[in-house]
Amino acid sequence: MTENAIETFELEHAFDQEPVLRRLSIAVPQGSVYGLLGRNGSGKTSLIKMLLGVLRPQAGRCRVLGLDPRDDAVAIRSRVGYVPQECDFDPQMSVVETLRFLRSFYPSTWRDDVVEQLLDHFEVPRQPRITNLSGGHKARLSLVCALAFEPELLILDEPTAGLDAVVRRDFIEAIIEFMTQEERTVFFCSHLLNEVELLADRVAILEHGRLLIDSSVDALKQSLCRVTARFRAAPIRSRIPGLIACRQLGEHWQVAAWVDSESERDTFLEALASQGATEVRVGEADLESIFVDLVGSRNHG
Amino acid sequence: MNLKLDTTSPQAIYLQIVEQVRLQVARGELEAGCKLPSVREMALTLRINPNTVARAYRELEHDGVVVKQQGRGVFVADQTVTLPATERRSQLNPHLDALLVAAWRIGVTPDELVQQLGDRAQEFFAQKSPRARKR
Repeated sequence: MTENAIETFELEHAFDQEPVLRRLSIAVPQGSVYGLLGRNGSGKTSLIKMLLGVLRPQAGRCRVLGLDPRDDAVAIRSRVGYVPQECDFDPQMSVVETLRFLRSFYPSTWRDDVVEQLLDHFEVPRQPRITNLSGGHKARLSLVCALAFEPELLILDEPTAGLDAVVRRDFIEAIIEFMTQEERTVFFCSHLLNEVELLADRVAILEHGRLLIDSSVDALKQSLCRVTARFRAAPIRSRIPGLIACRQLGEHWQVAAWVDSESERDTFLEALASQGATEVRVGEADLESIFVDLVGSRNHG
Repeated sequence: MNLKLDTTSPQAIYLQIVEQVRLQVARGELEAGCKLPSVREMALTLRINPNTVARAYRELEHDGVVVKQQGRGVFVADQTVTLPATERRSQLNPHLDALLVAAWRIGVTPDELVQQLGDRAQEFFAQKSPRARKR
């Protein structure tokens, strides 16, 4: 039986009347990699805090590995590796002290051999205080700590934001290694769309606390049709079925629409033709362009 | 094994792997009995989700292109199966339909299509290893 590692049902939250999550329902199947996309302030970090039991939802509920974070936050933390956006270790402790401190929370599951091997692999020095570590080493140490007790679920909140390509490579490889073990689940937030595209089984797009998309990456790419074309007059949006984005780029227009079948695709292309589209080119459908179409269109038009 | 993935293609990543392996087998670049990289190795090389590699391998196994030997790995299958002509035709039809739609959409004429397909077929079969051609 395939269970969901994470389930949320109509989660709601607001800070000072300002909604951060709006009736958010998602399901992350066990054994999958789930990529959550969204711009800054879209609610990603609030969602993660709720999954870990750090923030209580004002309405709705969620389950992580079958447990309710409101009642079982400690049990959840013992089975979930979490890599935060910014590492929150005590800056005055050394790397070794930090590891010894964390180890005490995982008396039966902490694996010294795994820690040693990962520290060597990532070339993280053991003696310096946290405050003297580079950003890249801090991020890698966070990852080592998250993997040290062989968690079932790994949650990463933009862990490599602002870090260089080498750190990102280390994270990608660590995620791949993690996923080659049985029934492991990864939930990660990122704005590096190319990474999400290659790593995720499913992708969700969050915008102002609302779920715009929750789909397999393959289905998402299949169901969006992007076209650049030339029009004599601005295309009339209401006459294009499934339209999600329509903007002018120099002499051409970029038009994107949802098409759930070949016939819908043809209907879309015919609608463009009937408005006098020429030089029609069916364009690329990578995740980045889909994201920009979706999120961009909601802000500008 | 050299695979190239294109994230701007609307084609799913696992299908890109399936098609490229299938093509390399058809061309004789991957011979029967040749061991494919493990799911883990392939995922690390291509920097993709291991689930995607596993799915591609399952598809290839289902199509008889590779065989999985428990505990040993995934190997290129002996491609000696010869299907009856009607079966060959019916398996090819959906691919031809996709090609026809693609050609029609960009305004390729039937003659151009036949010409181009003929040229490509010549090229392709000329490249195939003698062993593969025999079948």
